[in-house]
Order: sequence, then structure tokens, then C-alpha cells
Amino acid sequence: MNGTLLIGLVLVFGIIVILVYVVGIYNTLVRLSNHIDKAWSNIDVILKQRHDELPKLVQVCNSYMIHERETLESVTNARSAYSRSTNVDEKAKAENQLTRALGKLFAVAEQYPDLKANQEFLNVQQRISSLENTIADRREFYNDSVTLYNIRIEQLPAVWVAQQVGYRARPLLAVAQSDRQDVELMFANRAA
Amino acid sequence: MHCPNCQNDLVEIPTLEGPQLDVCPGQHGLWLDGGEINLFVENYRALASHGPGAGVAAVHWTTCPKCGGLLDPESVLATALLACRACRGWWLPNGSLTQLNAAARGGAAQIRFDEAEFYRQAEKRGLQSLTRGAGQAGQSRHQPCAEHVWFWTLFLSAALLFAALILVAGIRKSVAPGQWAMPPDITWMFLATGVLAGIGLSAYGYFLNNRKRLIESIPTSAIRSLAIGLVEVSGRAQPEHALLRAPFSGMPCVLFSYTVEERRTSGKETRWETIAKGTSQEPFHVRDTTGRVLVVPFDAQLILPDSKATRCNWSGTLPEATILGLLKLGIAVDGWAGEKTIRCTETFILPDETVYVMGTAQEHQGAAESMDNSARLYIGSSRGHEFIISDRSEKELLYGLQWQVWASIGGGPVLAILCLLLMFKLYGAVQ
Repeated sequence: MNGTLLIGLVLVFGIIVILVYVVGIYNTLVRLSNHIDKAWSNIDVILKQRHDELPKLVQVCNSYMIHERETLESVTNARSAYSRSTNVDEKAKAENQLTRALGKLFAVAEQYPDLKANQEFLNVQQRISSLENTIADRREFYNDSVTLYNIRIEQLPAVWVAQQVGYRARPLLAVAQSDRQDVELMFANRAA
Repeated sequence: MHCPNCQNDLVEIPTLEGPQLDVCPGQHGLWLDGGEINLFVENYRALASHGPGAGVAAVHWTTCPKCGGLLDPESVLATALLACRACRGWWLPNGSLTQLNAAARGGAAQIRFDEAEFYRQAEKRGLQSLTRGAGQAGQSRHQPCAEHVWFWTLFLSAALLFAALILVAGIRKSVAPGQWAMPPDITWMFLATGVLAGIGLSAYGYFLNNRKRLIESIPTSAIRSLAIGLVEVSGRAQPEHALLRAPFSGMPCVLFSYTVEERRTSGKETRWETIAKGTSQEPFHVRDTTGRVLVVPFDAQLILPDSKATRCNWSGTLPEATILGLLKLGIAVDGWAGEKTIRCTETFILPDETVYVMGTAQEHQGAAESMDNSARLYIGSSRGHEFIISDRSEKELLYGLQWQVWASIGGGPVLAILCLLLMFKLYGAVQ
């Protein structure tokens, strides 16, 4: 048996295996990257549903919380801020602002028993709470997707493939320091 | 600026009257900055006599497209509009500008315009900018560096070509054209089969590796926030209605799978031949801490450990329950020469057992978006996507797949190379 044949066989099979392996790594990186985009789009879908509920909520609250104008304005301002945002960072910031504003609104609504007894308010509040749970779950899912991607592009040998094709680490959705503080509640003076 | 109704970007439309109008391409309305209305009506002094909210019900609590302040409903010359307190701009619903122009006639100069034309232009420009935007969005998403991809493709192709040339040279040295040391015989057939088996094993390893990477790359979803598409969930299995009974052991379960084999003799050869197999098709629920979702197991690949399989005595004596199960499945236990030798295997998922499901989340027909996921979605099979149900954890599944991948991808090429080398050694002739 001659050495040329052995070398030729090993080289051909070896190169084919390497080629297939590298293609597999590249395809995995493409899949991971697209999963991140899909995860963000899925958050956007729920945020849009929450935004669609807000006019109803503000309209119902407006009838009862006559002296809480600032609280209601903060919700509508936050909604507009999200509509104006153009990239993931701005949307995340605006979404955090809206979540804070809604938390404050629901906390203030506790002081208005007539509002709390209003069925429409209860329905909208329940729907928004359910959507917020879904948003929280999907944020975690987004962060999981980003983490998987970031780990993959830093592992060997995928790191070489990632560098060659220009895949970079992506940021996680993080909560800003201001959002970790407790909501400050200020109630307007109401006539007895 | 965004339309207060649909939040789409307003489109700037130049007008003969002077100012650029900000118009909604969805034809909901248009925005005028403070004072611009005077350029679209003949008798602008008539506009001064208007009151807030006169005869107009508040429909929305909307924000100003320009400054983000609140818009208040107002009535001007019997025309309903929304006015911003902060920047004094007006949001005029579709048709309102024409109505105001008609109501405030009689000025020094005649002012006529076609409001419908403003909306047509806005719609046209809105579509053009959408097309441009989609192209730009595609560019802003990550695109791989094309030059590097081409470089490595060409490099590896050149390397493969070089290796192939060496291989051909080696073959020519080993085998004179048309001359073999021995004619191909049964050993040659086995070696050729070995080469093909090695290639097949490598291909199998490649597909297993793809499946492993897919399972690794999808995070586990919480059931209450499932999105439509390929998903991975983990939770406790619960029956949709009544519990099922495993066919041979009678074990209460939510899902079962069975295989029936018969021992057949042909001359000196004895082999086990599968005469029946099946899986239960009844849907079941998977429940985690956030909710539950229906799983429809049709076309699913079941990965259940053999340790739960029930193998019946294959010496010819079958338990009563197994015989009843076989009869229910329509399988005869007696052949023309007496009782058949049958081997039955069943695996099942017990109620409240933790299961792993990777499949496609789909909507029930007619489900509303506002419904809970438990009522709106189910997980089932979809063409081109994996559908796996297992009572192993994701970690155990990946561990098992890893070994299979290494064995296939490592063993396949080794087998093929060894068989080829043997073939050339035994049958090749030196020139």
C-alpha cells in the first residue's frame, strides 16, 4: 500500500469533515442570531397589545381620578415615547418608563374605591397585568437567547468562525438603576 | 411625528399655500402648527370665536404629535378637531380642513385646495418610504462579512482539489487501469459496503449534530408566554380527558408507544420481524408553573428510555394481559404451527411525569389573540421542523446525542478509510 494513497484519503476525508463542521458552526450562528431577532419581535407584539389597552385604561381612570392628572399624563407620555423610539435601546428604555408609570397608576387607583369596583377598569387592569407577566417572561427568553449566542461565539472553535464573518456579542436587556427604585406615590388632595 | 390614531409616521406634503402639511398616509388626519390654519381659510378672523369641547365628546386621551403634550377636543365653526394646549397646533381629522375652509369663506383672497389630493400624495410617499425603510432595515441587520466567507470557501475548495489530486495519484500508483490483483469477490463487496456504510454513518452523524445544535440553541419557554413557532417547553404531563391504558401492561398513562415483533425462522436463520408498531394519538397537556398547553403527539419522535419498556416472555408463553392487548390490536397470537413466538415492547409517559417537548406552537382555528395561551395555542408537528417528546431532561437528551454524534462522525470516516485502504491493498495492482 503506498503512502500517497493513504495521505490522499486522509486529506480528502479530513477536509470534507472540516468543511462540513465549519458550515455547521456558521449555520448555528445564523440560527442563534435570528432567534434573538425573533425574540425581540415577540416582545414587541405584546408591547403593542399593551399599548392598545392603554387608551381604555386612561379613559376609565380619567372619570374617577380627576385630580391625578400628572399620573395619567405620565402613562400617555410613556406610550408616546415608545412610539417615537427607533432602536432596541430606546424601546427598552421607553418600555421601562411605561411599566413604572402603570405601576404608579395602579397603586394610586387603590385609593379610589369607586374605580376599583368598576368592571371595565378591573377587566383592563387584569388584561394589562397578564400582558406584563408575558412581557417579563419574554424578556427573560430574549436574554436567554442572547446569552446562548454570546456563549457560542466565544467558544472554540466557533470564535474563529464568528470573527471571520463579523458576529459580535449582543447586549442583554438590562433594568436601569432608576427602575430598581421604589415608585414614589403622591396623592392629590381629594375632597372628602 | 406620528399620527395620534395609528402611530404611523406623518408625511410632509408641500402645498401651494406655503407651509408643509404633516399628513397621515393612512388618511386619518393632518397636523397644522400654530397659526398655519390661517393660510388655509379665507376669513381667519372667524376662527377666533371657538370654544373648547363644544358639542364634541372626548373620545381619546391623545398626545400631540409635535410636542407630546395632551390634545384637547375643540369645536371651531362646527368642525371637530384636537388642539394642543402647549404648542397651539391642531390635529384635523380627514375632511375637517375642507370643512373649515368652507365655513370661513369671504376673505380678501380666494383659497381653494383639494384635501383628498394631500392624502393621496401622503399615501404614495408613505409607501415609497416604507420600501426604502425595509431595504435599510435589511442592511442594518447583521450581514456576514462577504469577503471572508468567499476567501475561506475558495481556500477550502482549493485545498480539497489539491487533496483529490494526491488521492488520484495514489490510486493510479495502486491500481493499473483495468488491472486488478484479484477480481472483485464477496470480500470486495463487503469492503465496498463498508465504505458506503462509513459514508452513511458520517451523514447520520451530521443530521444528529444538527438536531443537537437545534435543541441547544432554543431556550425553554414559559408556557403562559409561548410564541407561535418552534418552541421548547418542559413540565408535568397531564391527560386532556381520561387516562389511557398501556396496551400490554395496562399501566395508566398519558402517552404510550408499542412494538410487536415475531420470531421467524428461515432455514438456519432466525430473526425478529416487526409485525406491528404504533403510538397513541390522544393529545395531552404539559403544565409548568405558569400555565398549561395542549400537545398533539401526531408525528412526534418519542425518545423514551428502554428501562421503562415491558418485554414479555418470548419463550412462547405470554401473560394474559398481553394476549388481550394483542387481540385488541388485532394481532393474532396463534399461527398455523401453534402459538407464535412474540416479543412486545411498550414505553409510556406516566401522569405528572416531567416531560420535554420541542415542537411548533400553533393557534387553534378561530382563536382570538386576546385569549390565554392555554386556550389559544397547542404544540404539534410542522413540516420541516423537529417534533420531539421525551421524558428525559434537555441535559440528558443532549448528553445522549453527543455520544451518538461523536461515534458517527468519528467512526464513519474511519470505517470508510479503512475499507478503502483494505480494498486497494488486497485488490490493487502496482503498475
